[in-house]
Amino acid sequence: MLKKLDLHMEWRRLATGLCFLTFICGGFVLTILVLPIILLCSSQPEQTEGRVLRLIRFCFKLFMQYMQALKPMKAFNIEGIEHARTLNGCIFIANHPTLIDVVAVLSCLPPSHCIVKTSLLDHFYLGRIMRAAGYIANDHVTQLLQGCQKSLQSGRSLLIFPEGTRSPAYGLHAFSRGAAQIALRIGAPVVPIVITCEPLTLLKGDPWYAVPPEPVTLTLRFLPALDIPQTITDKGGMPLQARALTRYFEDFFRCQLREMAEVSTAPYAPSSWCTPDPR
Amino acid sequence: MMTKEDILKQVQQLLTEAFELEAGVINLEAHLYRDLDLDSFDAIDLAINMESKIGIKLQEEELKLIRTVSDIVEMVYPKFNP
Repeated sequence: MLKKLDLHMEWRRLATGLCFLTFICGGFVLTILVLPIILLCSSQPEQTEGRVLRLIRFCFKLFMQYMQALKPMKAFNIEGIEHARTLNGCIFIANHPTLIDVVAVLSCLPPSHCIVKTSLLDHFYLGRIMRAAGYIANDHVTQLLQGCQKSLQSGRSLLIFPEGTRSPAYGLHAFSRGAAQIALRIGAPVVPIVITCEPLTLLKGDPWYAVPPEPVTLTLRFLPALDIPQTITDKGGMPLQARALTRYFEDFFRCQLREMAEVSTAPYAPSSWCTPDPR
Repeated sequence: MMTKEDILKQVQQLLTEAFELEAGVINLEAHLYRDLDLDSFDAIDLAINMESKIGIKLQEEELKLIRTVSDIVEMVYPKFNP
């Protein structure tokens, strides 16, 4: 017997495909039409960078509205954005539950630089935009630190996903130490963004057409900049401090996600979550 | 005169103190990034520690070639025994 077709779900499948197509075509148009115009009209690389960063933010804002209009997304909530607006030159760290969250975060941050895999900067057309925006490659540590320092000193912020890839369902991967290393070596406030997506969608390895049973609600919760405890900065040597600070960041996110789960119905909290890692 | 065993001992001590590692895991075959969980930022501190504690200055090109504990020992040995 044929399963009854859920028309709402089929529509969302189609709409999700449309969103992907729009993103790909939009990126292509920006690269071949808009980027050359910006390059022609800007005399300084800093001017280009500022314009490209504002362009990215504007397009991502539109894209968030587009996804809500087409209905794969039910709601997009932003909480505590004032923690992002009052600071210049800070490091935003976020978990990464879904492919969409990058677009969502960049649509509401002040123009910020992302730290990305070098392979992304070499992408045959999106790479051009990311390079023009001044995004920083993560492969060469000295250049990475110089790039981050330059961004932060010029008042731009950095966006880092410490897991390095999308989070596992309702969980977190172990954090890599990059964000802590940069925060300690350069000295900038660290602002956490805790992201939840209900129901989950577009995890690593999910095909685009595997749509969730309900439209998605994406929530970004900006929190006040974290004070780095003195017990961490008292430790001798950068490697020990970076390890301790990374554990501190990771525990902070696990506890935040668990707290958010207590007020929601989603299974965000296996019982082991707030127990510190035995590292 | 420094033997390779002497150098290994110093490297082991340096790694346990600077990077929160158990002495037992630091053998010659241990891969710094895969087995000992160092990252590229730690490589900077490895070089600083090598200079201050063992007295050997490693060039950036040399650092890039280091993958295992044995690589460090082999790189340091000729500097003590020219």
